[in-house]
Amino acid sequence: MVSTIHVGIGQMAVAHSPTRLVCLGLGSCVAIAFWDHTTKIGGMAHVMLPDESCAPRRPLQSAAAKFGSSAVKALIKEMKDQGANIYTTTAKIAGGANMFKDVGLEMKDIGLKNAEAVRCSLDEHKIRIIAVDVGGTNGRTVDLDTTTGKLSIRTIRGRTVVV
Amino acid sequence: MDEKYVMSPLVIDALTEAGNIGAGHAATSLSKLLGEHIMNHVTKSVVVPIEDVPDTLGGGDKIVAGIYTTFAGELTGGILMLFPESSANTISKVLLNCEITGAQLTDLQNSMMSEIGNICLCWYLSAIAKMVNTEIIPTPPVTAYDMIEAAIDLPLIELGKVADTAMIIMTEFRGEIHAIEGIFLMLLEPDSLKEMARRLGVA
Repeated sequence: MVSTIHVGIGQMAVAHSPTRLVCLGLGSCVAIAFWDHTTKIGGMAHVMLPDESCAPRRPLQSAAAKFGSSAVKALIKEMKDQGANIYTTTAKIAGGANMFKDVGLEMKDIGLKNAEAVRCSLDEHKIRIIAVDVGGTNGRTVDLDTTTGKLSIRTIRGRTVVV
Repeated sequence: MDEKYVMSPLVIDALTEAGNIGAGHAATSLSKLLGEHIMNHVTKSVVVPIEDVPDTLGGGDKIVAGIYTTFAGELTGGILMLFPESSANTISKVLLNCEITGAQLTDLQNSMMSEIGNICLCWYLSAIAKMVNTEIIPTPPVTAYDMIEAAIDLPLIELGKVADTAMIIMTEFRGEIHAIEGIFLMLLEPDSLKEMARRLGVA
């Protein structure tokens, strides 16, 4: 029986093969999936907001994974602590949709801003992005298989993509 | 846990009762809309970390219609109505005489859902506004039809800008004829929770 870790909103987790890492129902949130093929260690972060300037009155206890700008760094550290080689680690990102068709402009963009912040942060840390599925209007459930590094992306409109 | 969320049982009771009254008004208006008696269950207030909110609502990736409104004024926050897939479909049959197909709402169905939210959620908020003697200004409601976590992540993101913990005031409701069920859900920002408790005379 392969165990599954459900990564909640604003949280992150790192796991060894064959544990699966799952984010259920990503709307405007973005999932970052890390995988190191040499050690078969995977990591996942469920990002809510682009950066800390979005939360001016942010309580200090906020988890690093909540923000795109800090999630990548925190995930890299956790991957290293668990024995992964960060130079052979690649990233896949998914999510950042706009769930509410008529929502106001500021909120409409939050998904794309999240995706952009995550992408910038990955570039900054020189982590290669090998798959991207962001934007649109569909919620996504993503499931990372830490044995193969495959990320399956499912929506309710019948489309499951494996990248 | 945020310091602001250390609330006495009295404060939690008072906020729960306010939610109960708001949900009562909303259920009455939903009853009139659907021509069916809608009963509320007991209102619950739960204080949980934001990441645990989806689980508190039953979680997972089951499909819901979520109608969301934010409000401003002296109280700020968000309020939602959630209908499970089958109830959303029943409502569409009752009001529009058509079913939801292809896991997608038509423009008309989307507009209908937003209008239900407009009516019910405004009744909810106006009851609260009267009770605490303030003005609450809601934005036009918007509708998502998707996995529950995807439908509530934007409201949680909005709350996440000011808090790590959520106080959810939630009421489940059910209709007798068509077995329509759903949840009213209010997410108040921490300062507004305090303000509301003060205005209710329990802070």
